[in-house]
Amino acid sequence: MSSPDPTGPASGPLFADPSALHAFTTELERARSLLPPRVNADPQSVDHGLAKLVLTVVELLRQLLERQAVRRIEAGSLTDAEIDRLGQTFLRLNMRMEELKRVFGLEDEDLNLHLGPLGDLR
Amino acid sequence: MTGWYVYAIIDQPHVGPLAGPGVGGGVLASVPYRDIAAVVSPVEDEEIPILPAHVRHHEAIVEALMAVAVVLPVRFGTLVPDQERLRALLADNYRSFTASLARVRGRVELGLRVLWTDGVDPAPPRLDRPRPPSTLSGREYLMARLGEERRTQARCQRAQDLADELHRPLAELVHASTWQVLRTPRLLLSAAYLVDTPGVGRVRDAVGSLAQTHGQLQFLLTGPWPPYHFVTADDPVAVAPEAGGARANVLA
Amino acid sequence: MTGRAFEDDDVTLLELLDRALEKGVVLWGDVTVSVADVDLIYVGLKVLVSSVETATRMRQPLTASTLSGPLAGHS
Repeated sequence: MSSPDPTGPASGPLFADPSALHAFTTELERARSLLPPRVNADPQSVDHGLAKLVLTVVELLRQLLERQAVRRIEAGSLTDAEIDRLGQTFLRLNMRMEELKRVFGLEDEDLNLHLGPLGDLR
Repeated sequence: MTGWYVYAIIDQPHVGPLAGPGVGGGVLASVPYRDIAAVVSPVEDEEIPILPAHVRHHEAIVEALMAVAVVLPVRFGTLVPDQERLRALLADNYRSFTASLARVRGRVELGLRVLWTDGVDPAPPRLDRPRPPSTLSGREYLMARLGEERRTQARCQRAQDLADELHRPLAELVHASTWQVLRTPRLLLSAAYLVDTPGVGRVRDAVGSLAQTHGQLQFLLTGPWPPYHFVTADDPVAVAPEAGGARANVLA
Repeated sequence: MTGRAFEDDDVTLLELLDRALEKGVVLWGDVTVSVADVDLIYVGLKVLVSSVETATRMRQPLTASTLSGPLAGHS
């Protein structure tokens, strides 16, 4: 590597299916969107960022709690009555979150934490 | 001047004249400590904004250094207030830096991404979003979630098995690797490999073979990169001695 | 530049950002932050959730598949 290429390693990918490049771009952007876009640090977007943050936390908790409940059902440690009651609560919470997302104009992707091996929240 | 922007740690106390200004326009310099150094340039700003042009500039300097030294790239945006503190950081981390430099000497990083396409990916259909008035009972809702969880877990296992299969032929050709499965739903595998510089072609050919065998997966191999993923030498003892230019990875 | 060259550039830039912003030697605590509080909290969340999941996985019985390779592996 004598003269540095300012765009990165030499001349493009070592191996790539040209038709797949666009799909990789999309997926890499998705992978990196775990953190809010730092490339444009816009002070005006702080409020929007806070709404997104709060809703992400609630979504995270909601999904983790649902997952917990499902595991307990699999383990057989919930009664039918508990299953129904928990289910109703989660159902209502889910619907409420959908409403809030609509109000703030947020898509699932906006709130997704891309937790890697945990699998996506959605 | 508000600080020193740090590009890399190198395996020699001085480096010859480097072309071009640094990020923020300052002159490049080296801050030595024993037989290593940090390569820096002075900056006026409190903070270097994360713009593609700046990151590329940082990278260009790191890559230029790789032509003349063994390099541990430093994360973008690293500012140290003064040289005394920088020397102290070098001293505190001297042994770790030296070990890491030894590990990456004569080697480069390659990046592999593998996409799981719709044909292969057993992604489950998503749960319908419940809208009021929903006629689902609580039990029905949770049972649907249970089904979804099971499918997700099966998918995770399938991804892991596939990733293991892909990793096997590559493990023979690389000195070290680090990988992540399903970083996003469609990104089956994201991996970084530490490869002997002359061995890059072999890895590229191996990836080409994998692409032939797994026609329904899509592969992207990039590099050679500075060894961003290999700047901490976890356990030098775990690295097996070279044998005929290829090695099997411990803990693979 | 051809379309292919543009896409090459995009992908290469993303790969570069993924490395230069997330990896490399960390010398001085955290790097410069922009919308600072929001960034830090997101990072903290990911670390928290990873710990929960690891703890959960550890409680499951060891099988051939759990021994042969964690989802995030090193060698």
